[in-house]
Amino acid sequence: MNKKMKLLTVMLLCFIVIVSVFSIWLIEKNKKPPAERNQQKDIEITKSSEAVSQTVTSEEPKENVIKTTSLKYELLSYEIIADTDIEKQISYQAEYFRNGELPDSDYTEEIIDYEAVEKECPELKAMWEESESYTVQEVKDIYQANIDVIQKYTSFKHPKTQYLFVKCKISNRSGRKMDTDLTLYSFVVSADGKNSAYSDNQCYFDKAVNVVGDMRDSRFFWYTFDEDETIECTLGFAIKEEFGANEQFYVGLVPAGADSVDPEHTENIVKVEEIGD
Amino acid sequence: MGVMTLSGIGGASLTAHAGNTVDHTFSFDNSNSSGNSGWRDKNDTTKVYVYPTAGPKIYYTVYGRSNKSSSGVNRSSKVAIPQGVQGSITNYVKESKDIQARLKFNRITTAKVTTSGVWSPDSTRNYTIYN
Repeated sequence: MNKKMKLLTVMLLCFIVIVSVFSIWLIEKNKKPPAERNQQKDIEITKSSEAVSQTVTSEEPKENVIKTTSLKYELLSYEIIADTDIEKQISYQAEYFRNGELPDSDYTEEIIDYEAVEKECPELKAMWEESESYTVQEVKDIYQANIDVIQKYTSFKHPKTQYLFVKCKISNRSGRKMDTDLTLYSFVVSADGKNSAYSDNQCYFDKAVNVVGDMRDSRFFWYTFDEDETIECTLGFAIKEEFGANEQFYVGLVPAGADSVDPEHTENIVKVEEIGD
Repeated sequence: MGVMTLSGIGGASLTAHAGNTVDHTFSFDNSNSSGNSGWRDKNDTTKVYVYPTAGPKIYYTVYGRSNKSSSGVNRSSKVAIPQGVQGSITNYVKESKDIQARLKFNRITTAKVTTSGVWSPDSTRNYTIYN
């Protein structure tokens, strides 16, 4: 019995030793050298930092900067003047409006009652319904032949308009002398955020150099930059009411070919009320 | 100022707004089969002005839309204007109740080269006319 007990004890001890040795061997085999351990830690820290920085970036407000490959616009401040006050103000001079005059507070636009026109003129109605079936000249001829009907149902109304003036710095980053247009679009978003529209309604530029004749008509908002030149200027926009009270305004560039734009989440478009923040 | 009437082509026009004749730059990458410019307000019945200044010849079609969210309908023939030619494209944007116009570009030759130039929805005179 004692012999058996002794044998069992020895065997148990051997087993424990074998298991211990094996375990130590396993641990040592998977252990990384110190340099590698530190690198792994760095990667983990970097990844978690990136996650934090991505989170911060997505919550950060957009900069008041608009960039193309050749230009950088930094928007510095803004002022909005109602159409009722535009003729009385003295900050923005007539010569820097594109047509050389202060805007008319009560300017009007045509409103055509197309329903009434179509009721009275079946030929126009048919043409508008199937315009693809007509040649360009046929459409024009039918339109002109029935111009008296259209005039009969045309009235004129003043569209409520706000004039937005944005002071900015514009820099040439093309690396060369450059003649280019400095037109931006304005964007209007409804108070509930559900609707938006954009227009090319720039009307004012106080650094205009093309101010005579055909050049004023076509190149008023163009400027010739020297290499690396930066100018400070004011751009103005005549923004007609689109969606009613409490619209939000934005200025910037339209992504190529876009039919409609979400200005809040599109690059190169700046919310006006955040300019100067 | 009140009501302002401008004379347009072929007779009386009804617009009370000056023409949108400011040149905007456009560019189109010919590695794509087609592209579009942005929409611009069209104020009268004059021709659309297109002046390509660099790159291969491409096709231009004038599109019009009657509200500021639709993708529009073609309102002209598809015309090819070569570099260096000031073109005036006959169109029926305003005659179709539309309020905005844009250019649709179609390449003629596939190449990773950009065609660029300037354009305006309205014009003060006619150049080389494309019907």
